Amino acid sequence: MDKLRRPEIRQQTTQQMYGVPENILEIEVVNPQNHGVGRGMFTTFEIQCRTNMPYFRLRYSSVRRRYSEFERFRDMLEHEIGRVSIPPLPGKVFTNRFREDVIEERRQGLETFLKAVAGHPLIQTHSRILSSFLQNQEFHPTI
Amino acid sequence: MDYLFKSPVDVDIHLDNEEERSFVDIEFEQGRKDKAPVYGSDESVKGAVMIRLKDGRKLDHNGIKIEFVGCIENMYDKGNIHEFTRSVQELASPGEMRQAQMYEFEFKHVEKPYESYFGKNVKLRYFCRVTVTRKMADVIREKDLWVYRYENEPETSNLIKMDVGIDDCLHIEFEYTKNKYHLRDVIIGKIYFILVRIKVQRMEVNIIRRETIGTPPNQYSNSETVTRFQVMDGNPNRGETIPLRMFLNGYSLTPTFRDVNKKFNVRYYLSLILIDEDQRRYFKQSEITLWRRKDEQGIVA
Repeated sequence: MDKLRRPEIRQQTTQQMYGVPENILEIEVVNPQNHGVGRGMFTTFEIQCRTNMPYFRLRYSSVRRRYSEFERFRDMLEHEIGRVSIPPLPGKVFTNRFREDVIEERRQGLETFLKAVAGHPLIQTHSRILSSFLQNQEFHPTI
Repeated sequence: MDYLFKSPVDVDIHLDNEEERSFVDIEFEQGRKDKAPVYGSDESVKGAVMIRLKDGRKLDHNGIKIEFVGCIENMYDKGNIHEFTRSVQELASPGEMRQAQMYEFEFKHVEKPYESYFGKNVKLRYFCRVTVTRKMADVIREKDLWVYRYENEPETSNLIKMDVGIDDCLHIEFEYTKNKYHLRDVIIGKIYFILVRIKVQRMEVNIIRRETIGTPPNQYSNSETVTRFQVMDGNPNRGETIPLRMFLNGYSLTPTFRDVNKKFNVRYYLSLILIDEDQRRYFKQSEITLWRRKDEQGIVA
């Protein structure tokens, strides 16, 4: 009669059963905007973040970052977290940097990159710069 | 058997009560298939060898013998065949054969200390080998047997219960009621979620067989997933328990073989795997011991 044995199961509270899961993390890279004129011109992208995870300071945030800040962030992340392989950024662009389709391709690449990085459990728990990159208005990392 | 020259004789080995025994289908490397009758570990191996002459020619030979051999073959190291048991019986002394002959043989209560096993890189075989010695090529014929070894219910079986996870991300407690299972047993257990901060897509329990050949430093392993059980689909909440009930019957499992003749190991593991929405895998392996039980009706597990 072995086969009829059932393991003891702990009762779940209603809060536990119907509560919101603690794994909500939505990240989007949107609204590219050009700043400056002439040779000093550059594009920034808006990073919108909606989350209920405890690793992040704010439940909702919206900040602007340019490509070079993403590069900086990625380099620091590689140094911070040795054992995880960090996905690549979309490539550097030298010509037609402000053409619509080029900017769109970049935006998509940056979004893919951020989703992969922010969604990684080891990066979430071990990185100190992840939440500041995603949520601080200004990204001034101290080395 | 492969013959170098076309053989002048037909040699057939017939084992007593072959038709009444259960069979195991076996396949050799060259694609040759056979049905091997099942024997118990102390049963006598009895039978008869039929030798028929082709084309009515007479046969001059230097002796006919039959051997009962148990050997371990290492498949990736071809020359490595280790015979761990061998018995010989002379059937005929050197002479001339003019017509078909039948020779009876018996290996009384011959010891078969290990269970037969055909694995990925190693084989453990028992077979009868008839050799008709001649001036030119010897004529050799082999007939495979299959041996099962039965055990009694183990005296103690412990619970497998563990608390595992990644700090602040995922924390589970899992339990399997036993660590020793017979081949037609059922694995009963549960998984309790203490903390879930990843986006779980599904959970599986896999049975993995790991075959290890040789001894360190020349050890070689290969793993194979025997089967996958999907036990949960979707994201669990804190405090949720997923019950497990997995039937082992019907999968190609063998008993756990530990250090057979100091040559190889075959061990089994339960691998509990959680997969998140980005296809990341979180897993924990636990070893289980499998054994072969003889059912009361005499049906083999």
